[in-house]
Amino acid sequence: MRDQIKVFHLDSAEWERSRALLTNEYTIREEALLPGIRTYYDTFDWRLFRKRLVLEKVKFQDKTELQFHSFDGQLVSDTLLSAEPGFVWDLPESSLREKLAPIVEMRRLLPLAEVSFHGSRFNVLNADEKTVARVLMRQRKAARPWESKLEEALPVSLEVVSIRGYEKEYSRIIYFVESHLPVGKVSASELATSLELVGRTPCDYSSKLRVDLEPGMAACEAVREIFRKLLDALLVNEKGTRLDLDSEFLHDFRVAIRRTRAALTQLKSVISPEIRNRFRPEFSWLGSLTGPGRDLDVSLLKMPEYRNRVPQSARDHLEPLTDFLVAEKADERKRLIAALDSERYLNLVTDWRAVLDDGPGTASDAPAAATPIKEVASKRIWKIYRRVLKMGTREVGPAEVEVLHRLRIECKKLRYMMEFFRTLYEPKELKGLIKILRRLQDNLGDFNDCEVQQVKLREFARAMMDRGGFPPETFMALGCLVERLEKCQTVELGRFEERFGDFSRPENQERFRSLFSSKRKRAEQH
Amino acid sequence: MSVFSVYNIKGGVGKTAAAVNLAYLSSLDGSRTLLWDLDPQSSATFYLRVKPKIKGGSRGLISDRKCIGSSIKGTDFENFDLLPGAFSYRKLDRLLLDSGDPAKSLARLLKQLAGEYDRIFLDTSPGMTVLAEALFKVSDTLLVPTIPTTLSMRTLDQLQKYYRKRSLDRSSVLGFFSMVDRRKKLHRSLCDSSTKKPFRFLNACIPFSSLVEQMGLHRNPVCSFAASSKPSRAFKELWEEIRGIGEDR
Repeated sequence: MRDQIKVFHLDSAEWERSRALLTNEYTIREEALLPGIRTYYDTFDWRLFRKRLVLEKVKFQDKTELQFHSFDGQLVSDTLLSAEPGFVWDLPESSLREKLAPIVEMRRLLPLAEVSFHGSRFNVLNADEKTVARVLMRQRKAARPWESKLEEALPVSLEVVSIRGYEKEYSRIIYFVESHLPVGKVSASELATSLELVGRTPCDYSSKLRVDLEPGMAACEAVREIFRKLLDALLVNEKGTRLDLDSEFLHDFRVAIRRTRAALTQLKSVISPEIRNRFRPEFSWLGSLTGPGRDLDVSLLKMPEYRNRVPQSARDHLEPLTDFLVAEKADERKRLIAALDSERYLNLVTDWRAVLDDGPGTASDAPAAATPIKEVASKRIWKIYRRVLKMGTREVGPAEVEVLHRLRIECKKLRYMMEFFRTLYEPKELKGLIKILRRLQDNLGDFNDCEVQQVKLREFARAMMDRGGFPPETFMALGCLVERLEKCQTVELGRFEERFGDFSRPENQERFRSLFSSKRKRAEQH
Repeated sequence: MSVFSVYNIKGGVGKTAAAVNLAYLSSLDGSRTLLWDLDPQSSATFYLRVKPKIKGGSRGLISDRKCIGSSIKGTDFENFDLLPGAFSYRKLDRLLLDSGDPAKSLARLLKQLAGEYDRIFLDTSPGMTVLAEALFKVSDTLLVPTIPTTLSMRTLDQLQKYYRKRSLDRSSVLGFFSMVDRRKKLHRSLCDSSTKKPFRFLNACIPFSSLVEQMGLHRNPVCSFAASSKPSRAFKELWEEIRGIGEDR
């Protein structure tokens, strides 16, 4: 039953002439198209756009509808809407929500561009005055959301819409429009054109780091480039962190800090000691500011999982924990904003930017500053890899939580280094090695998560006790949850041997060696 | 997909007006709706300004030589399509009989439309025909417009006897009063009477109105060209009831 639609563009000055041409050629019944507003949504990291999907809120008359479709206009799902789209879990229960949830996850849907439209519908009639096709002409203006005064006109859209069973008439009208009306082909979708008009670039942010480096680049230059990208990521996430738009702004803000800290430590042979000594404590300070907020975010995101972990009867008793976490989160956010408003933070980012942009900066008196970056990168990655192998090969018993914790941190460093220098290596091979490492990291991460969550839940329980007013059933449910997490941690520990075994298999070691070991390369050259 | 047949043994009871207006109201819900005009007179088709024609004729339809979807026409309204009537439907009874199993043949045709439509309304010709007997089996709901007169009520008894004899599900039959003229004592007394009726009767009554007759002039559902008129309001009430019962089921 799907109608065929062909869309053309028209200069707005040609509106009247086109209308006259249509009405002279056909018997037309003209109706006004009521004004409406279409708002396009996506997450900050463009999760929908990357999958060639479009989410739009269409508001006209007293109805607001959310439509989810592919780039080619194929409808995935739609639903009526009563409130502004935000998080996927706040949307009305519908198939749209089900389809959107795995893509968007915990990210907030943010408005990208707003297109207001009005126009006319021309019903093309046959001798029986039956409508056999429709021509819709719409004037459109694009604006940044909530800034409707700064509107930019889009070309008039002219849509010819078929009616089932009248395909011949539809084709004739298409022919007429193409040959007699001053129309042009549509070169880009309404979304793409609107984004351009409101100054947005699709996919301008991704939480994945990509630094384009050349193997022969001087190490100090390459590292400076990495730091620049990390500082950009930090700053671009600052506004969303301040506004707490969703948990991932703070997460990505924090990751940018951690990566910077890791680079400052791991690439010390390339960075002047003066710079390192000045900025390491500062980034460490900034990192420590973001920890408590992230812990609260993680716990809030895990609430549905927590509910599933406790018996059915105890689930509702966990609700006061959510209220507690939300209140704590608000306090923590105030503390973080105060820190971000401080002179110390302002000095940190401006001075760091100045070092990266102007000074001889990272280079000068560092021993490996002029060495080709690939040499430095391979040496460093190989060294951390061997350290990881050594740490993991020793016996790890249940009491050695600390060993696994340190191993997890080493793995993280290894991962950061591999990601910083991703473009220096054969992409497929590097991707494969990251996958092997990720499997081990997942296990270590899950193990650590269980540990951290137990500690955190105990802390929360103590704070709730001190504050008072929480029912005893909540504490019993928390006790039950901690016990389940302890069991889960034991399961993860049990898996470690197998995962590490996989990671350190001789053929995997060989793959790491052939990509990063300088001895192997020298041997090959000779 | 739900199948609604609008049927009465007796003719001239307002079947077509009900079928066209109910299908139109269904489409306003946003449900993809098809009206299949099975009457050789093709009045519903005329009301919707479509030419009465079926590709391949009735024979082509029953023998599957022509895809049923290729004859469907969009109406002037969104979500509302029509499978037009055709004079060749006068042969439909014989063709259905020749197929060996009329109900199965009809069900097969409806199945082809299942993915495309949420609701299908069938407008039928009067009489106890082969097609009617097949409809009793394939319809989820049989809607029976009934004029509040003695003869009309008598046909309901006949229908009830038929259903009982063949052990058909009587709960799928919904009667309603149509062309009600409350100036007439008989109409008033039958509509208001609480005496037991052979089938479940809906509360909404469609009044006799010249506006319904004017559908032939406007060639549009009365619910479209006189949306707030008395008969339109009655059709809306009727549709609300039918939809409510469907949701309860």
